[in-house]
Amino acid sequence: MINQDPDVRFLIRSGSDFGHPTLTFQILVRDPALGPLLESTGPIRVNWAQFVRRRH
Amino acid sequence: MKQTLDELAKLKRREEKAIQIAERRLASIGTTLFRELPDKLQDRLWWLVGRAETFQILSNELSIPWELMMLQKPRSSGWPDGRFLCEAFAVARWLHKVVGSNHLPARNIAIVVPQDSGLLESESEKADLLLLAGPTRMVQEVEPAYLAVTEALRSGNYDAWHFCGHGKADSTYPHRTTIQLLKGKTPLRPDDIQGHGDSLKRRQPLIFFNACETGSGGFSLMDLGGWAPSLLGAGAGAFLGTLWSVDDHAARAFAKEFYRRFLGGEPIAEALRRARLHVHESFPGDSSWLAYTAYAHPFAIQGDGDALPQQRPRRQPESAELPAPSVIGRATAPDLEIWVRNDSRDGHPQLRFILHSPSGVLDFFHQELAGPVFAKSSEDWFLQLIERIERLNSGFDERGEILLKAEAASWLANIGRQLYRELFPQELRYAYRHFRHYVRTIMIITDNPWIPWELIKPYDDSDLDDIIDDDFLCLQFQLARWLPGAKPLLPEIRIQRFAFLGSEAFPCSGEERELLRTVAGKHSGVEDVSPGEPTMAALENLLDVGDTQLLHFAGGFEDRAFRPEDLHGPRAAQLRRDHPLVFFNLNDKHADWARRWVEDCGCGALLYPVLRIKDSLAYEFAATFYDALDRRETFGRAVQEARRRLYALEPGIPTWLAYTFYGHVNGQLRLGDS
Repeated sequence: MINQDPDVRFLIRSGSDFGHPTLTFQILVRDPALGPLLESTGPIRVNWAQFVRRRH
Repeated sequence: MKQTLDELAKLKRREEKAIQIAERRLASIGTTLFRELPDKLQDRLWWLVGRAETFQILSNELSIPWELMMLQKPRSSGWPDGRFLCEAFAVARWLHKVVGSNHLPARNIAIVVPQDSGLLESESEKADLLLLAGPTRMVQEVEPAYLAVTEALRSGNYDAWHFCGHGKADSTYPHRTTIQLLKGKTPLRPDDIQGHGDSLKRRQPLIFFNACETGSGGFSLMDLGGWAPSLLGAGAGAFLGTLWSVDDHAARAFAKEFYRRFLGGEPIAEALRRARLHVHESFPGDSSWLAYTAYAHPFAIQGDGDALPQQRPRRQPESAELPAPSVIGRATAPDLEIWVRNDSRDGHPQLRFILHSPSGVLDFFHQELAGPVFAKSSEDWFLQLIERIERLNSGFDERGEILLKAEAASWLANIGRQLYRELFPQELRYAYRHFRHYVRTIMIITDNPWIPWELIKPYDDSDLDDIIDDDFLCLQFQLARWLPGAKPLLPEIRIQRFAFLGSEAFPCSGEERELLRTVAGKHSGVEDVSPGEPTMAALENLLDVGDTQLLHFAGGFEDRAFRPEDLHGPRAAQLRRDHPLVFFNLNDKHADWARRWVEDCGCGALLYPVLRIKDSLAYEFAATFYDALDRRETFGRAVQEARRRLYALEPGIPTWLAYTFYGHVNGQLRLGDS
């Protein structure tokens, strides 16, 4: 519901870059007072490979 | 980090030294997670601490313990001094492409507690849960055996499930992750839920896995990877679990506090955050408080879906008890939200679109698309467009030659097609090909009032075997706008007092007044407080008295002297209290009026023309609009019906597209006591 959006939505999308896991981040805020409505960062290679679920 | 967790697993956490080591190591893990993020993201997250309250993590990547991330001043040196993400915000996770639930009934709770788990507190936890039963809630124990549990799951009788016991992770093969039932018996696997398709959809239960350790266990990651997609995909309304095994005593305390708060009316993310802090306080040095994670709509509350929190609950001081949220009616979520934001590219203004489908009819999940680049400001672009259409309103084409009515309609259609080409980049055109079949309601959420969405007429001949030549967006869909950051959209506006501000001396204005009286007269409890003279002074008097939920302006109102900027101080505050429907059915208004009326004055809904309108058509518009609302049609539907009526009467006179509506597309009007 629109009238129940959280203040911040933190979107994380996983991908890969030549076999190395990557993540792309987006921050989406409900209120312009909390900064730009949407900001994207990435994809970045992450060093948390052990946490990123292996795919089969 | 895996190594760190393994180290932690070897520690006996009840020993003083081990507690300190555990706390520092956890802070280190959190700091590492945070510092791995790009600088820009670190800055942004740190800036949000203290400013934002609710935080939703949307990802299909489930294994990273984001809750543990230690937010701190970016690029600072030395020992970190920050706050864990789950401490700074009320956090909940969710998965892409899964439709959530705002309400979790929790009236018939099933508990599964294996007696042979070796957990000292499990019997006490069971006793706590049984005490949750009351006049409106049943709590029943389900035998912790595979057949009994799967049968109970399949029956769909329960709207909440609490499992207490042990979990076993298999991060390589998530579907092999298990919840232990009785020792030596078949455990429960994600497949057992998935195998029953959407068996959970009917009740949308809250499911809580309180996986504990036996006292000397460790921090091995539970890996909820197997469970969250299975449970939520099968229709669970929310899922709570732990990212690693937690202390037996802390787990019991957490569950007790969580249920006390959630069943007492707190939204789930806040109940989780407060239960977390309770455990942190009660078990210093124990990491259990950080281990919990929730997959839920952060504002999901206990209830049957007949009520929603009126406003997002504000965080209270830690010592204060949260009151149950006040409630108002409910409106269906729109099929599609299009968020439009202003950006720039190479020094030129550019729009960016975010497509999201709250109702879940489409698989758009905050999908970002690049929009058009303008050579000049979008306001200048809009004003130029308005000038072209106004020329048409006067009966002339762009070259100043007289237009026949049929030609005018065709000319408008061409402008609409041209706008589609200009404003819909290829990606959005591609998305349109997909969503046009499924969407009924669209909300445009933007602080850019200049894009005439109503006038866009999709035409796409890129595929000659499937040429799209659709109707104008505002005729085809139920369309409404809203401003980002404005007050929450109202699902219902209840009219107890209305005022008509227009002069009967003006064409059609008298009929319009009569129309309002007739519609209102059909319902008891609606008072007509229209002033004798439609003057600024009369409007000011009305606003001073307040409590008027419908302000209808028509021809003859002294609006030349009226500027929205005049509404400030107590009058604006009164409007924010009344959140009225404001309908300007006269002249053309500045497209940016919405900012003042909606954002600053808190209107519940606003309808006004941005083009000159023809008096007789304006009356027809109002008549159709109010008639539809009287039949309890939604705002979006009422505006669409009114436009269609005018288009059928005079397609070449652009009064049908002149109106802009701000409000909840699925909101409704309630007249008096009806």
